[in-house]
Amino acid sequence: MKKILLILIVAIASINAQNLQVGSDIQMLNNYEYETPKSRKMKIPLNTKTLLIAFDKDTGALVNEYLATKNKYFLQKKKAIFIADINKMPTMVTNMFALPKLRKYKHLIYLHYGEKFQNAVPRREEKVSVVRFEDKKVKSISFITSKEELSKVF
Amino acid sequence: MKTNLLLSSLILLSIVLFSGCASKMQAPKNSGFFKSYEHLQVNSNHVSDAVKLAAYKKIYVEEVSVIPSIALEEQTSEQKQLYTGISKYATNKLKEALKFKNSNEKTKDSLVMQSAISASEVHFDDKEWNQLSPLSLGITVVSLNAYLEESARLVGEYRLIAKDETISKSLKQIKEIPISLNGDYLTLDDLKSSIDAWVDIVASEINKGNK
Repeated sequence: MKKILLILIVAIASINAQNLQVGSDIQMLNNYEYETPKSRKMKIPLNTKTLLIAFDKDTGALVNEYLATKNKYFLQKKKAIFIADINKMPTMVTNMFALPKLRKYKHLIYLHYGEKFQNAVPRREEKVSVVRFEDKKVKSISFITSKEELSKVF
Repeated sequence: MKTNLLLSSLILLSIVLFSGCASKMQAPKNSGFFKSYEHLQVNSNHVSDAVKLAAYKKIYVEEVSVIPSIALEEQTSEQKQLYTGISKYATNKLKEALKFKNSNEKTKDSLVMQSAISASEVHFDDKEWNQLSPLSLGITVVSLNAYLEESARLVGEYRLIAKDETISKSLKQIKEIPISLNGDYLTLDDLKSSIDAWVDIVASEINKGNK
């Protein structure tokens, strides 16, 4: 019985180890692939302090519209990265509407197309995930919904 | 007839749109200027005819091209000046380093050297990453982090042409020297160590044939 319990604990721990949580190493994010809207492959810089992740159209628009009001190097100056996970977007919508629009933004956007990312990173319905890093480890995770909250992130 | 044409067009459009490939841009795979990289891997020098190379005493060095990976209309005036500066600096360094007699013009008895410099983003710990991923030779929103993380490397290429035939070509990435950003913009000073290292390698390759 004790053995089964131990195996179960180890199994759960190893599953959680694949998920981004407080204490996780930032390198874990580079197990996934990212591209700019112009299809240029990107890596997450290891000195990133803040990560914003949007999982749907509205939260993506919230972040993009906010960043569009800032200098195009705003994210880099803040050592921040913005990931838009668009794996749920239908291909036709991505190609016809989303990519042409995203290519017009001056700031840097990381797009993620795969399925597994959304299960590995913390998310809440209709919210932007905010992950803060210190010494390459996750320090805190929070979720925001408004422009006011977004402006306080930085 | 018209209905059939319209239907066919709609079907074709649907296939294209649903295929996921239609408007996804194809990013360039390599940063360089060769049309083909057959027989040429990173840090290799391919000599198709060493005997022909040894027969020449004179060399005409064309101005080093700079491949900035930034569209002309997007280049700032500082970047344009930088590329002119890189070209002049690298060309002069090559002419000084090569033991062949410098020819001021292309002649039948001179080799012609064409070369180019560009930048690539590297992640040597990632075997899946294309270590020749083109990187803008200048600061853009896409390239800035690569320079800050010291993931930028100079790539130098050249070919030697004799009587309209390419007899040697080389592709070098200066792996050991990261291109460091010392200010808000990339400058020639940030690149000189890498350019000098490339010139030394080129000279050692080519001067072998000029004994």
